[in-house]
Amino acid sequence: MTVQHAPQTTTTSARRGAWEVIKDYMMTTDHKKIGLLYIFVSLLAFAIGGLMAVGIRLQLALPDQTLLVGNTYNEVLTGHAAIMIFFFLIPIGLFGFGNYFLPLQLGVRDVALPRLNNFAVWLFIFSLILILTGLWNGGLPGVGWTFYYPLSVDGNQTGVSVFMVALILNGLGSLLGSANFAATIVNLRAPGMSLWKMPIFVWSIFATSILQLVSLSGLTAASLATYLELKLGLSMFNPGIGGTPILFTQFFWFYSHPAVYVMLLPYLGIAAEVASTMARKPLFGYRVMVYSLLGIVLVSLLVWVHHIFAVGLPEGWQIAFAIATLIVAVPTGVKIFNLIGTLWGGRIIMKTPTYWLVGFIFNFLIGGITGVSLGMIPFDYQVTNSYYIVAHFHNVMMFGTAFLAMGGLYYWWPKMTGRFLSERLGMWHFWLFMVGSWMTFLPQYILGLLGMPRRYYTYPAGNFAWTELNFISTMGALILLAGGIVMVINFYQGLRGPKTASNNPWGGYTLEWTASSPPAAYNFAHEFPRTFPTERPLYDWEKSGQTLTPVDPKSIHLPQDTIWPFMTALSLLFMGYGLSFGWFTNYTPAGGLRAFSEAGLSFQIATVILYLSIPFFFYSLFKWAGTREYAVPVEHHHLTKYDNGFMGMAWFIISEVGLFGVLIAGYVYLRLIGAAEPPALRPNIWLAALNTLILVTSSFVIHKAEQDHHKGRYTWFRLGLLITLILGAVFMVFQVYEFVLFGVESDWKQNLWQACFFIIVGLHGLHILIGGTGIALPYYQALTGKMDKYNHGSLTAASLYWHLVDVVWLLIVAIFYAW
Amino acid sequence: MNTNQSGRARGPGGGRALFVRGILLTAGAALLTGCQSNQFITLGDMASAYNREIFWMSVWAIAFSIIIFVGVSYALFATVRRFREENNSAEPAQFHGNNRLEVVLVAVPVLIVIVLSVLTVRSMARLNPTPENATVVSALSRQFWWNFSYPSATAAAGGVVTNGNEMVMPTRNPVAVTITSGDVMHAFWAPNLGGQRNATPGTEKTWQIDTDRPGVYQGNCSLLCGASHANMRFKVIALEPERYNTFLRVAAEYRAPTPAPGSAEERGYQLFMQGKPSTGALACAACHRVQGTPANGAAGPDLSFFGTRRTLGAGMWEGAEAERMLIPWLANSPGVKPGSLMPPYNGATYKVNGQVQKGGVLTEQELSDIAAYLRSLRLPEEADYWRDSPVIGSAGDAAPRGGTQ
Repeated sequence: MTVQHAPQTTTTSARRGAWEVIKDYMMTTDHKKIGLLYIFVSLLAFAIGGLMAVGIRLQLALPDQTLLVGNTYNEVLTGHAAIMIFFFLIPIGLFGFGNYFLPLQLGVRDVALPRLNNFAVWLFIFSLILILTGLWNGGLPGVGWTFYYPLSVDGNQTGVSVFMVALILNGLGSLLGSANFAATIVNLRAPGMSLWKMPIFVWSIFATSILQLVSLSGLTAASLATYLELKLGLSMFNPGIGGTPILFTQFFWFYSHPAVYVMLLPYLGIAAEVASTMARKPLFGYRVMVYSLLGIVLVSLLVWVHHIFAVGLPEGWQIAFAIATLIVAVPTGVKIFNLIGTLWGGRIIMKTPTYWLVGFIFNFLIGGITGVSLGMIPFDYQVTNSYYIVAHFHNVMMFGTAFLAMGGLYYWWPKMTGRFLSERLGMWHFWLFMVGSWMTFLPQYILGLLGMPRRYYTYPAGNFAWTELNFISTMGALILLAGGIVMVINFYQGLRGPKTASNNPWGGYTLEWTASSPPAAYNFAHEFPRTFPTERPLYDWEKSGQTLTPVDPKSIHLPQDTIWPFMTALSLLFMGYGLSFGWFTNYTPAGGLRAFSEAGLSFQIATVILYLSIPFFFYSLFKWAGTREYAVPVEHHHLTKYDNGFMGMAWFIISEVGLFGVLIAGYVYLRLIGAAEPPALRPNIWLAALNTLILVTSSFVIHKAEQDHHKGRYTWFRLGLLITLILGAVFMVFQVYEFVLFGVESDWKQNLWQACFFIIVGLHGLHILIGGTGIALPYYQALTGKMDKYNHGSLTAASLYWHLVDVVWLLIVAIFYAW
Repeated sequence: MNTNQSGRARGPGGGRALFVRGILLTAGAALLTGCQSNQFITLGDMASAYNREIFWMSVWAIAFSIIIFVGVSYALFATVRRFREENNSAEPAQFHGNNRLEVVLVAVPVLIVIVLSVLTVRSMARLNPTPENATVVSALSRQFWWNFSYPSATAAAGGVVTNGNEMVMPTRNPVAVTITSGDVMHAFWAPNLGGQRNATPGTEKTWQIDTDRPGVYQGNCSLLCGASHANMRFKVIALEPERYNTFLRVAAEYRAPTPAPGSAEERGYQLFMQGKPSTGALACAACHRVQGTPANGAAGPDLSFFGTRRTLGAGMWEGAEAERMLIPWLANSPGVKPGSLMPPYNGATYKVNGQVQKGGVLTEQELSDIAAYLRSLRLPEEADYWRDSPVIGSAGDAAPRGGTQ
């Protein structure tokens, strides 16, 4: 419907009821609204997390306080970290600014997969809600955001399973969003814009998306394994059966170190944009900056062990990772030097965005230097887990990248709202944050050197300078709180008043500044020249005298709004709730398996919700698949020969490969050290061989079906999909049979090999179900006549995914059945 | 409209001055009121060879840091000052970079990284190998306490010499600590003596700590381990080697004294060993070991030398405070230390594996009998490691702070 309404919505939007607005955001496919949703929810999370931080600081203001004691303190601490990381710093930069500005900077009308984008943002919001439901289900987890094993399965902890499920759902949304960005960048750029002419912010989003896709699997693997131990007793880490908790820390930090860069790279992109615009100059060393972005991506994947030096891994490993850690300083230094180089020689507009930028560079310099010190292992042995670390990562996060999140808001606010934020309040905001951060965190460096461990809810009086430094730190937190209040006032005021911003208030050089402020639903009512001499098209075009070609907005087609991605995400919220607080059996690690009737009422209700959510999920998903993306037939343009669905799936698959890769690497390690020995009775290779045959056949069948679709043989095409589905079902039947047999033969809680088998082969089984559902979607689309020459539905994506599932199976046969 | 404002002209100047004054006032007040410190915990303690090594390793890093910090921040602020539009009306030159400068800006960090890597590897090579003459101590960490045992000192009464929450070590001799955990992950950290090492269940890791100076040092668990992570502390008492050897010899020969019949200690002993099944009070001996008695539990810290110890609740209370808290501790341990797994003996409830359970009941008299028995568990005078051991960083008064005896 948006096709007809698109030009009008911007003019009538001013006076809509709240419900209309909410409904609009539930159904929207507009990357700008989705970006705003991310930004709004992230800022809300920043407020919640910030208040938690103030609570933490009040507890620590003086020795022996009783505001937050024991596990309550740990719960607040975990909530603060998890919310700040997963619901503020990662999403606001990557997905908030990314969604809003990536298509605008690329000169296109939307991301590659707009409906998936809607699904992803709601998945993100619902995962936040899911964590908060822990509040009335026994409390938040008190295990730290790192949820180290075996504290995470400690009987006295609550809320860990909901934390795990929320992380997995949030991760799924994050991966879909990242794949979407990557597909957008590869497939949809303004004609003539080559990769090397993309704005640096787009590069930073591209680099971050790739990093997310490669590394997030570590976190998913860690939370999945923890979750399965909580709900089924399946463990890869239990030292009682030969597992090792250190493996957990490897899984966890394999993602959570790169996550640091996910919280950095988009902001470096923002910094470069702000610097170039405000200095009225091109970037200093654009290519070098892109190379350092990619360099950071690469090196960041090779440094995770520096978080666990104190575990005591073999020295060779520690040294290799220490050197990689020190190397990170090189590309990061390049970024800082080049930012200063960009400012050098300019005529710098000293407005709030510039202040945030300069503040960031200065603060990040301190954070970077202290970060290098942590790479020096013997020093790290001393200060790891101390307040030195707390100071360091707040140095790079809170008064590092979060400053650029603020800078980005001040910089792009006129574009997003058509209004300016107050400069006067902005300066108060900036200086309160600056002074508050220094006062809060710089003393914590000293506290660390004076031996104060992190995550302490109390400390005794009488340790040299602890009391004084903690007190100063708390005063700083209160100043930050004041800054936060100024921020809220400024943002509130910045949403009222007349829209006075021009299209290009700062004199920026990238394509988003040609859109109106705020941009119309279709982004641009013009086409761009086809030549992009540098990454600053507006400057170049002005020099060369090239102009924009107006386009009649009525001729622009946009995807139609639909409620079903939202409903699908909602069903996953219910499913997540059910999976967290209920389960198919009444099992607890401490109590073992008990009768379902013995479970508490809330457990039983959650289980009912779990069962109900499954049909709800499938119904919504099929309704979604059955709704066409565009109300009228639209010819798609992509820069490659692959459609957007295929391209998105191709990027997404990286994360699936990563997930199996991480888990299988863990299993192979356990097997090689002799901890995971197969029991005498184990699944028969002949059944697996038969299953291999079935699965490989199905891969050929679906490939044939795809060919049939291309050639217009629709009956054969439908038959091919049906046969693939049947083969998948037969495979599942055999596997369920095998699982039941193996599960009865011996106790998976007592055998590490069996636990690994069930986790990894079971996860593959889940992927067969997902892939089967994926194939059922185009089959359903074909049956309802939604597929033709122009509409491929989700066929190419489903087919590619199915091939992946087959390939993973071959690997599984090799390492679980043949080995 | 706001685009025309000059953000610099108004607002922040006055605010900044006010804040600076505020900071100075608060800091000053805090320093004046809070300076009665009695413990100086620091990784800058040069009495430890470990800390000396990281200091000399870090000197270069600190020098580079200062140069880079001063240089880059000068470059930043000079650039902003010189080129802000108020000071610079020239049209900016539209240059895209400078390759030669770029190469220098990459080469310099690379050189620094190489130097720091070499320094790191050299220090690792010096610090990590366990010397052959090292004193061996095993550390077991549990929620929320420590056991330190001496594998070389087999007790005459069976088992090896073990002390809970207070670790005795020799000076002028590397100490190889082998650490493991009995439940979740923990970490051992006594900054004055050396670096941290995580305690991982199912895994044993060994590293070295050392000091040249006798005295009492503070240690803490540094890895989040649950509700009382902040209350999982310990003391390390470094003794001159001769005194250390005496301690170890006497401790190995030690047998818990047999209480005189009819004494409070004797009643406490009975309760300790048998509990009071009629009121659901579990026996202490089920969880604690006392060298030279049948008590050989392993779920709680070793109590063999309890009377000699001057801390209580894994370092949560010290000296007179520990003395005063002993009865409340015995009456309701989880009530005074969050998450403590020792059952209460005043009928209060506590949480085990997520299940709320009810503790047993002992009368105040019975609790004080147990306390009397515990206080009687003392090493002979010559092995009292607290005697004349100065608290490091205190204002010079050697161990004036009472004890549990």
